[in-house]
Amino acid sequence: MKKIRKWEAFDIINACVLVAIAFTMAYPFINILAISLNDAMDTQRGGIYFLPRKFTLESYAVILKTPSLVNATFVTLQRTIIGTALTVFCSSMFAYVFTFKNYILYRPMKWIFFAAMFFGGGGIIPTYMLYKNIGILDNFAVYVVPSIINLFFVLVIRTYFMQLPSGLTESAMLDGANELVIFFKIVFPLSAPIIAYITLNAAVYQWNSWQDTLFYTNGGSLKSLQYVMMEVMLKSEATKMLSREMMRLRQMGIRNMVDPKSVRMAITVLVTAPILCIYPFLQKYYQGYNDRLNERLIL
Amino acid sequence: MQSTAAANRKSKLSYKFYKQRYLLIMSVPFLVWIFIFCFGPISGWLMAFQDFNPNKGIFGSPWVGLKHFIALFSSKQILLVMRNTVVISVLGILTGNICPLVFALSLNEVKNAPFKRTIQTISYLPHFVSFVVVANIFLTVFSVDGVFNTVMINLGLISNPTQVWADKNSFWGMITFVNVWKEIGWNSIIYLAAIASIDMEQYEAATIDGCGRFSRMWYITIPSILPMAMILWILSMGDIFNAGFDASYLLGNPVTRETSEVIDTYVFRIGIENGMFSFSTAVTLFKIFAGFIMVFITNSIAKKHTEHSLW
Repeated sequence: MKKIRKWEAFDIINACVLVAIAFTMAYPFINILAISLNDAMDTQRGGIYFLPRKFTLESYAVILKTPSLVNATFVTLQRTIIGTALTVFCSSMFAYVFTFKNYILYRPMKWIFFAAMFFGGGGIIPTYMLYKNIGILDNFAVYVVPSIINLFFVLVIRTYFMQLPSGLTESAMLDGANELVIFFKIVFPLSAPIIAYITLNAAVYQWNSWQDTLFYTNGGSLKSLQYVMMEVMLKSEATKMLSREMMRLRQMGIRNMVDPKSVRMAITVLVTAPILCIYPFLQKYYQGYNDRLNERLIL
Repeated sequence: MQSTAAANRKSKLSYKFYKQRYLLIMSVPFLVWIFIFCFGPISGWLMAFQDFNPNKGIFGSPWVGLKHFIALFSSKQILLVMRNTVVISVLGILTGNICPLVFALSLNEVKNAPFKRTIQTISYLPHFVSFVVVANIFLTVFSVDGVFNTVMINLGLISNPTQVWADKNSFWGMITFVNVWKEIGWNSIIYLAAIASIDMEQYEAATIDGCGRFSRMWYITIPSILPMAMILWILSMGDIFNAGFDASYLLGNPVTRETSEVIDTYVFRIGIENGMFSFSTAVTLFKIFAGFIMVFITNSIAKKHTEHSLW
């Protein structure tokens, strides 16, 4: 009897520890949301924990009225849509080529692939020089072209394609369809779950990127939302610029005082909200795939 | 005879090429992409052995042999950067492997499925947001008027607000905490999957033999997931010179630079911001090869003393 009671005590402590961990994960997001919805002057008094004290949407209004921030939002959306579409399409097409074991270039391509996986890339300076030589430096292409193929995605998609029933493609082949047609008409539509998984992953990657803006562009009109947020967070010039922008807005008739910090919080909420929205879907796909993937790739 | 056989083989090969022309068409763009974007930067490594001048290019710049590598090993600053990198990444490897394991073991003891799923779902959330958001969160929570200081003052633990991010002595601890916070839930998935694949009969037999909860954990769960933990550990040793650009760049500042500067941020600062292309390439090259060597060393140690290794 006594032993069982000890177990119960362990269960309670364990549950409390887990709740505490989950709280530290979730709470900062709640805090940021509360600050972004609170009046900026009032926030400086401190003590905003869960709910805004003086509710206002002013910080979000500033984002909509600041041209550089609107532009950054467009850049982020643009790179997410174009980049994701290219990654999904090209990576799955490459994965499809890799399913033909009787393809003449199968073996050499396999070696090239693994060499690229283990030795590919090579530091930001050589990459910078390469981008400069091929002329994509400080160009929108630098966001989408280097990521059109993700070698890890290729492996994942290929694993899925390999388990599709081979009869489908064979019968289409007998009917005279070529590989290109089979890919578009049969393989791609039949692989909706894996395509969804890759799409979500690629979209999160594009949405969250900011390093490429820092390394390979001069900023300007190519700044993404994440990059602008980083600038406001770290660089005092950016903060000053934003303050000037707000002064101008205030002169135009917006009365409430808004400071760069609350705008920063509002941008944080804006860049996190879409991830929270697709989160249930990410979860659904991850649960199934990750277990299987881990077994295949690591174990 | 022989020539016809050769011709036959040749026509067979060209027939095969013809038959697979669509596959060939499909592979060309990808091969081009791989050669440019994966192997292209490798040719840039030559810059490490030159006094590279962007106007003259790789072919026009003078060769200087190992000058930059000698400069690298005699530089005091590099030693400091190297120390920070190794300390931050070793702390990261230790906590990044142990914390998720403990978290997974703890989650595994929860019997209530919806509770377990909720905790898990919340715990991977930080993995999906960018490091900019994470840095923003931690800079805000630990700022002078942030929640951390307010709570600490209200509890009477400190009398004046502390500037956590301006203290170079606490940087390593803070950055380790941030990294654990971000990845603990995500990294625990692989351990949970491994635990789920353990045969339940082992537990039943152990229970009949009178094993309690902790001895089952100690004698069954941990030994069963150890091989995988070992492989993850070997793989992570390759990252020992890779302390991560994001964390140091976003959370470090000039005040904490003495402890926050790591190889990646140093290369960025001297390479792109100051234009010392050759020297920073030499640093990168050193980092890449040191990483390879570390994986080999850990793998051979693991092979010698345990049964688990990568190859």
